Amino acid sequence: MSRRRSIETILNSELVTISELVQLSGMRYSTLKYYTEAGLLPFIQQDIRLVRRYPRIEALNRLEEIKRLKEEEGLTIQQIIEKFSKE
Amino acid sequence: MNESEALARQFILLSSSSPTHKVRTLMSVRAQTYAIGAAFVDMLLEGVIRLDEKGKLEVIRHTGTGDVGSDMILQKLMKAGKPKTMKRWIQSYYSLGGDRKKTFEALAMPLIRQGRLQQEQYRVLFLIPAVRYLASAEAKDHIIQRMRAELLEKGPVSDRTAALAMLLEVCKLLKHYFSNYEQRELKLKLQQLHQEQSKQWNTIRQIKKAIDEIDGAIASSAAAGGVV
Repeated sequence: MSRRRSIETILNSELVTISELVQLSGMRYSTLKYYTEAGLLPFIQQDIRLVRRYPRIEALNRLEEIKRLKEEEGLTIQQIIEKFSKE
Repeated sequence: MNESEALARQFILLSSSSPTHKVRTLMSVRAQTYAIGAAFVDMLLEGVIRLDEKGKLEVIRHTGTGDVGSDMILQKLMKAGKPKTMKRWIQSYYSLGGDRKKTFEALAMPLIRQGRLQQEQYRVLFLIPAVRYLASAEAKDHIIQRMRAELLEKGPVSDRTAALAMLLEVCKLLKHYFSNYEQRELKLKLQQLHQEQSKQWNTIRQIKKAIDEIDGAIASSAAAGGVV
């Protein structure tokens, strides 16, 4: 298991793990995992068995957008998935 | 997995045992009846059937749903002489074992074909041959993650997810998948949604009431040693 990185290091990293993304976004681990599997969150994975790395800025921007669509526009997750898949 | 997958199939996956048999699930008769109840809810949500003022089920769209299991139910509804309440329909499925089993198998078949559900032959008390269903952990996880993402985060909830949460609550299956804290949060969110999204929820409330009544009927008949 890799060593836990400090928040300063995470904030300066281009790529972050899902646990680090949980720390940065304040969202649930399961929610981020679901968004990833639903194709809402971009990630890089060297091999199917290796850890997924998320582009920090892009992933956080996407999470902000999902949050806005849910809370301000009142879209359900299904509608958000459909919206992004059309783009 | 299709995100808008039929409620009945989502329920079948969550009410099935896990391959390790660690998650205890419902007795097959109840599980099958609830899965059929979920198919009724699906058809209500799709606008194939509706509940009239007297609470009786009425077929609106006669063209079929495209799903073998749901179409079997729809055929039965169309052939019925006079409309019945949801409670009556569910009771009839509960008591008619042959019909219940065939409809349940038709509802579960697409999952078996996709390899997300397995049939396992076993013997009750080493004597009576029986079949039980095992769902893959991956298939279950995906549904639970979606429920968490919708019900435990801020924002609107789709009708299917809400109905699924209610069904799991009635069947006391929530505890297998959610912590005590999450269950409390989830129930609070459902109460909040009841107040906010009243129109669509009227249907779901009626269904929940019907399922509650059936649950009561089953429990009382079991206590009296009779058959429903």
